[in-house]
Amino acid sequence: MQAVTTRHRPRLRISGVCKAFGGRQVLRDVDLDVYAGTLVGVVGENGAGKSTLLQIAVGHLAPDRGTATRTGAVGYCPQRAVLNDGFTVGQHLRLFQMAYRLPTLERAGELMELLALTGCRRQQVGELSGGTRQKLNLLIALMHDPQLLVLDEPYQGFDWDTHQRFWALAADLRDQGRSIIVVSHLLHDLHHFDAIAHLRQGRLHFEETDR
Amino acid sequence: MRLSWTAFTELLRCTLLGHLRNRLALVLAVAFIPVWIAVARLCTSDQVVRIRLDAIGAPISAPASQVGQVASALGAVTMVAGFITFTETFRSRQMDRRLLLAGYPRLPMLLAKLAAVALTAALLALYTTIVLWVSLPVRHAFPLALALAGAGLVYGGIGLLLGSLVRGELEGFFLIIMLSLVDTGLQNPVFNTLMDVAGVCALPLYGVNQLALSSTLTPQSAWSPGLLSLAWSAATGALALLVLHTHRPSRSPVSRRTGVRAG
Repeated sequence: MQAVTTRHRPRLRISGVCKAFGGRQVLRDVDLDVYAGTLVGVVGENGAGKSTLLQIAVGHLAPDRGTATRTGAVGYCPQRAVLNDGFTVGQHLRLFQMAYRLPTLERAGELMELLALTGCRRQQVGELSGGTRQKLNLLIALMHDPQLLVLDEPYQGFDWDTHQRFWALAADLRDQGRSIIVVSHLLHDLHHFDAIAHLRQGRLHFEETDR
Repeated sequence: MRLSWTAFTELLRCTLLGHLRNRLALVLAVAFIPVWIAVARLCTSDQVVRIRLDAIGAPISAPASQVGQVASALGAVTMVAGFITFTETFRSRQMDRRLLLAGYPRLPMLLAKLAAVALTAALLALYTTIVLWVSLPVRHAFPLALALAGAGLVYGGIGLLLGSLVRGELEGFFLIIMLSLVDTGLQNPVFNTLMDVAGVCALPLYGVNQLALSSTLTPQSAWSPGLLSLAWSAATGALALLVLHTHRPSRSPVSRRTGVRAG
C-alpha cells in the first residue's frame, strides 16, 4: 500500500512492520511509503499505535518484524516534548547544532521568529509554558531543514495563530519537495493532507482527501 | 577531532550549569554537608573510643565525635553526589537519546557525563575537606580530600547507573539513600568498633573509609584500600556507560549508509 505514487524512490519506506507490547499486537504488517513533496496524515483512536509507528519510522524503536528505511536527513518531533528542563533554549539550539553539524543557527533563528519564540534563548526550559516547550520541540525537528519530517501531534498547546502558521509552514515545506508525515487527532486538520492513513486494529487503511 | 572536543566541552558545560540551576542540589551541597558534620560533632560524646582499622593493622584511639564527623562527612558526600548525578542522568536520558538520534557524537557525550561526575565529586570533596579542617584537627588534608572525592566518585557512578536504569525518580532516590545508609552505617566505627561484620570490606565505601579515618586520626594514610574506591567507581561508571550505550536508538541499514539524522 502506498500513500502517494510517484516514479521516485520513497523518502520513507515502512514494509511489513509488526510490533507487540506484552501480548498486545499494536502494529500488524504495516506498509507505508512517503514520497518527496507529499504531506501524509496518520490518524486513529487513542492507543491505536500511531506514535509507535512514528517511533519505528525514525529508528527510535525497533520493530519485531519488518523494516523502516529512510533516505536523507530526518526531523522527528516526538508527541511529548523531549527536552532537558535544566538547559536553556539557547543551549538546546547549540547542542542540536552540533548534532546536525550545522555551520550556523540561521534557520533556527528564522523558525524562532515564525513560531514566536524569539526572546526565549536565555530562558531555562523548565520555566517555559507547555505551548512554548512544544514550539521548541518542533523547532528542533525542523532546524536542519530535513528532507523527511516525522511529526507526532506537533501543535499540542499551540495558540490558534501559531497553529495556523504551522500548517502554512508545512504546506511550504511540502511545496519545496520535503516529505512530511503528521499524526493528527483533529478533524479540521484533515484537509491539509495529500493522503490520510487511518490506523485501525494495527492495520493501515488509506483514505482519499479533497486535495 | 575538533567536533568531538567541542561536543565534549559543550555538553559538560551545559551539565555543570544545569547542576548550578538545580536549587535543591545546591542547598544539599552547601547546607546539608556542614549540618550533618555539625550534628555528628554535637550529638556524639568526646569519650575516647578504641577502634580497629584494617588498613593500619592496629587499634587506634580517638574521640568518638571526631570519628563520627569523618563518617558523617563521607555519608553526606555520598548522598549529595549520588543525588546530583542521579537527578541529572534521569532527567536528561530522553533528551540524550534524541541528541544521539540526531547525530550527536556518542563518545564525547559519554565522556562529558563521566567528567561531570568527577568534577562534582572533586568540588564536593574540596568543600567537605575545608569544613572538616575547620571542625577537626585533620592530620593529612590531601589524602582526606582524595578519600572524600573517591566516595563522591563511587556514589556518582552509582547515581549515573541508577539514572540510566530505574523507571521512577523515587525508586532511584530511595536506592541511593538506602545504599548509602547501609554502607556508612556498617562502616561507622562508633557503631561497629571492631569493623568485624562479614563482607564489610566488599562495600563501596570500605576503601575510602579506611583512608579518610587513617589520614584524619593517625599519622599514617592507608593509600592501598583507597584504591578500592577507584575500582568501584570504574566499575559503576563502566556499567553506566554500557547501559547508556546499549540504550542507543536503532538505525536501519539504509539510514546507516546514508548517515541519516533525526531530531
